[in-house]
Amino acid sequence: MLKNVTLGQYIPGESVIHKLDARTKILAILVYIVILFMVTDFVGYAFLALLPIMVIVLTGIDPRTLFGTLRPVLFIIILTVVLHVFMVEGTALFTLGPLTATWEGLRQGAFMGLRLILLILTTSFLTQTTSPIDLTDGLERLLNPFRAIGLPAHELAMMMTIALRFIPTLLDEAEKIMKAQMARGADFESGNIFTRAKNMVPLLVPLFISAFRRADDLALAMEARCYRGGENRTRMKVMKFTSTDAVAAAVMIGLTAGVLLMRFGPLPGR
Amino acid sequence: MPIVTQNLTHVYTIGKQICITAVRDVNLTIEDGEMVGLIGATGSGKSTLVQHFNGLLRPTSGKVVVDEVELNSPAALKEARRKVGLIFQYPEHQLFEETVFADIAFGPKNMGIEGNELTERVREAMDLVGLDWDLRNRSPFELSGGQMRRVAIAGVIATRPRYLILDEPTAGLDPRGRDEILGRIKELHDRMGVTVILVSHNMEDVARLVGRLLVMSEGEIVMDGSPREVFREPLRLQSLGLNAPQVTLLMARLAEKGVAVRGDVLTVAEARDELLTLLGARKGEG
Repeated sequence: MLKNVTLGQYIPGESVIHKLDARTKILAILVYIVILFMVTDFVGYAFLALLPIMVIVLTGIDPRTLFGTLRPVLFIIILTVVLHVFMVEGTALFTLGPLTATWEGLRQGAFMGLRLILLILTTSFLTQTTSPIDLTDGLERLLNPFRAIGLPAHELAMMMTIALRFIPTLLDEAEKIMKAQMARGADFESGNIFTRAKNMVPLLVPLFISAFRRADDLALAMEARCYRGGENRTRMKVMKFTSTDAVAAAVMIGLTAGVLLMRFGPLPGR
Repeated sequence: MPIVTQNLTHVYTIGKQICITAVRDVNLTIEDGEMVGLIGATGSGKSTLVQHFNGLLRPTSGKVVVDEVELNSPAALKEARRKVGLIFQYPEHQLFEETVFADIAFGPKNMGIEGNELTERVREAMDLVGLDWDLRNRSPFELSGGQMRRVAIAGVIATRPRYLILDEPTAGLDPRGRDEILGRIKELHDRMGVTVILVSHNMEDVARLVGRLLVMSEGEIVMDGSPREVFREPLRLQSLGLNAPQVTLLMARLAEKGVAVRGDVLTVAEARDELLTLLGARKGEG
């Protein structure tokens, strides 16, 4: 019952996008987010939608899985649109009791909704095409320069790796404990929110205890293999920028330039 | 009243495409008062099967009937969980209360039992698993591993189930702890008439304890008989990734070599008797 939660959404593959350096992908997403917020009209969105379309074509990811990633935030998107439709003042479209829907509101709501959709779709590419290990490795390398100001890059990355590694384990564990308590007559499904919270105690206490036990064991196992943090640590797979990364960078520069031109330059739209 | 399964099948789906049939078309009747062993290689579907007996898992197709009530409504499930106690592997991992007493009382309390009756049940359960009554106010987390396991088992016994299913109750215990726990379970069966289903990897344990042995392989019950009948086919067991008890194999080997002993002994004690008779007979000859 808990297994349906997909947190590590990595879809293994051999596409060009999969093989891109994780650092390239992280930086590209950051750039994409920034330029997404600089766009002021629908033409700009159409232009920026080129990137997700390209990625879908290159990776062959089933678009249906992509819409699956939108489902958890669908509520927020709909809420955004609805709020805009009714809150923005302008030409009335129709009235619903004391509320008036407006053309301008509809326009702006669609605008915001589209922005959210593009944002979530594109960021989900990162986790879908990059294995968690590569992702944390990439983050570590990107954060490395900040070590000079005391940022523990390696430790952060290691913590993330471990956390990701243990999510499925803990979910399994939670399911097992839940079943064991249900066999003793525990009820996790009925009652109001307070009784429900109280009923979670028999699940949460053993879960925490087991998480701590696992953490202890893991620390011991790592130390037994002489782990002592990031200092002088070498890697089995060294990350290297390749010509594909250069192409990706060029694409991102192209997109950025396009958006900047649209916003400040002589290109149409505004 | 027995536990009956009819064409019970359970399919796990992982993601959208991958389906694994963990239990395939099982027809089984477990009679009242039986002590049944369930063995099978890892992944043969033992744990999945027993989780149907108290409705923790619902069949993909087929049905489960406990005490003539089919487990298909919330009320029937609730009733089944009262009647069928299920002790999972490493049950000490589900302890959560501040005291041993409170933890053992959790099950009965969920069934609406209070006051003296509750105290009585906890006392009885602690007694049955061999825990000293003085331990009741200790934190379960201060106890030794073997004691924690007993607290957890007591927590299920205190609900007074008519059927008790134990999934590898002795995993990770030392030989003495193992014998102690198994002895208590046997006692529970003999004294209280509880129907016991023992899921195990340990052939020696089941050979010694149970009256009926079920062998699972790839989700199906492939052998069903007394331990003696089952262990008489060591080659078949081996092809299923299992093995008869060491002592059975040894005696079978001896019998094969022409030594006049039975080839189907189950326990060391039986083998000893058999060998002593043989030696005695020889002595008589000489």
